[in-house]
Amino acid sequence: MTARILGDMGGTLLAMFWTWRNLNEFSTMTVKEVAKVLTQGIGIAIVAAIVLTILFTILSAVLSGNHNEGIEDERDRLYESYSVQLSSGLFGIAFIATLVSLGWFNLPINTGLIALVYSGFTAVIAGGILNLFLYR
Amino acid sequence: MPKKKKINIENSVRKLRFDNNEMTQQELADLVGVSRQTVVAIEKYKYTPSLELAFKISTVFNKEIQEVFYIGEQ
Repeated sequence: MTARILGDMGGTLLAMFWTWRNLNEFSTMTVKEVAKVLTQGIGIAIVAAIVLTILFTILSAVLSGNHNEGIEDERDRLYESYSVQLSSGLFGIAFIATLVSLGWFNLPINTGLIALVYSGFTAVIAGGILNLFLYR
Repeated sequence: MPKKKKINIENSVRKLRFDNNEMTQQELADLVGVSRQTVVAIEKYKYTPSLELAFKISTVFNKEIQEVFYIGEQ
């Protein structure tokens, strides 16, 4: 379970870093270009999370000699639901805040798009941190 | 509105395991269908199991549920 949490968080951090590097000139980029980078970032997050989860699972099985991590029980499901609640709550707040900023405070559309995707990334990381805290 | 009181649920799983031929945490986990980490969390009072799991654990030890899980000191 921890391998999956670390994989998700690692993949998301990697995607955040990659998009941040490719969005240096976002104020001069067109909406289409920004959207392309963000979409690629989301793709990277998904693929990296899968790859890292597999790597962490193998690493943890080799180091601990325990090959039984696959079992998911009620505690895992409960903690997962707490994490999903936190993530969706954070993302919901960020979504509304971005819409308000776009509608009332003349936030550029590029910045709004970036804020939305980054709030999604941040929500995943916050959920992961909560999960790690619960499993401590 | 009455004030919500948090109750502290404790258990004697660890003691019962030792009384049952020193059953390991992994053996108990396998018998009730959870991970060993969940058994560890229950024994340390860090996680309160669902009613279903509590019944399963009590059944393994042939005990009534209230003999295994009880309200601790407030």
